[in-house]
Amino acid sequence: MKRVSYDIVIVGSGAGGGTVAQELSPLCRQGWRIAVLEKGPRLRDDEFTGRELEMAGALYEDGGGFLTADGTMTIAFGCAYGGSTVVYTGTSMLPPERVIRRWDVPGLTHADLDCRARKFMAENNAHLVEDGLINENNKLFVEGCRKLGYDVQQFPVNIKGCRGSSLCNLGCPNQAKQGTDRVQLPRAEQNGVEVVITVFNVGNSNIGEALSIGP
Amino acid sequence: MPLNPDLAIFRAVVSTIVPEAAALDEQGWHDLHQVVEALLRDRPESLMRQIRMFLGAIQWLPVVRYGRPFTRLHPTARTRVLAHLENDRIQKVRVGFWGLRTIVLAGYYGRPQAAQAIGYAASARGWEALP
Repeated sequence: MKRVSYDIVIVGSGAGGGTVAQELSPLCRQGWRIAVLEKGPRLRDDEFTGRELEMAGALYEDGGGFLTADGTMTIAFGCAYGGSTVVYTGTSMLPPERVIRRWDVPGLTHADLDCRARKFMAENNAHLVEDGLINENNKLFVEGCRKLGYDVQQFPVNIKGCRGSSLCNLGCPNQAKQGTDRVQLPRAEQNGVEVVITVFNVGNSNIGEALSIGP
Repeated sequence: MPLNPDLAIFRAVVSTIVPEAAALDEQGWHDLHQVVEALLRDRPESLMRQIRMFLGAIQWLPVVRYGRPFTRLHPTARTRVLAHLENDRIQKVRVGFWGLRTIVLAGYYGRPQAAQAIGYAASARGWEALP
């Protein structure tokens, strides 16, 4: 069995792990060895087929049917290179101050988090899409809400080159969604971070290896 | 098909939860079973046992009230039986029903034909694919 040692091991490659990997990656130039462990697959661009059952099995923990211990709730979360940033809709919002205050985490202030979040929103191209790309049903929804007196706002999404496939939750087949798999992890790998993928299967093809996939 | 021994019960449940399923031909049912099979393939045997037990309960519990098993009930009575399970005061029963319902809906709507029928046929080509 091959033994490898690292100075830093980051568990998970999603919004948390992927960004931490990028932020720490300059240390690799000073000789630090950093690994990101990811249990899900790293699909090639042409493997994002957009087919629901295929992608649910490949990109979600338990195919999207992860059950809580008491069996009362399923939680759909990503399990892939890029974690849930591969399969979420791309909605990228700043944390509201009232939420951070309620968390009451020592040392964590809203101002600090807001500043960091804005940095990553810019990095991942989170922005308000232009009016021409908003579809009819959303326009109607906005119109209806306004008529009823509700405050309705657009939310930013982290996309670049979106073709309107509506397949965000199955991993964008056009590589438009800018998750950690498209932004932070490649940068981290360029700097020397190793992303270690565990063994996995997609359909009948075993496309994973037991150990390191480096830059 | 992992639910083979209980196929008739399963089909009756599917047709009750999704009435449109009653119009499925053999190919349609085959496709539905394929989806369910794919969903359950890697699940633990204990879960399969629970599903079979739950299907067995659905089949035989109505005998107490209606004098006949689920598969021989009128659709209205079938709906009533499932609604009772969905709202049962015992959490495990509600969870069991919810799990089964999830499998049924995934099986029916997981077929490309069903997606097309309800106007949900996403394409990687996105806006270019719109008529």
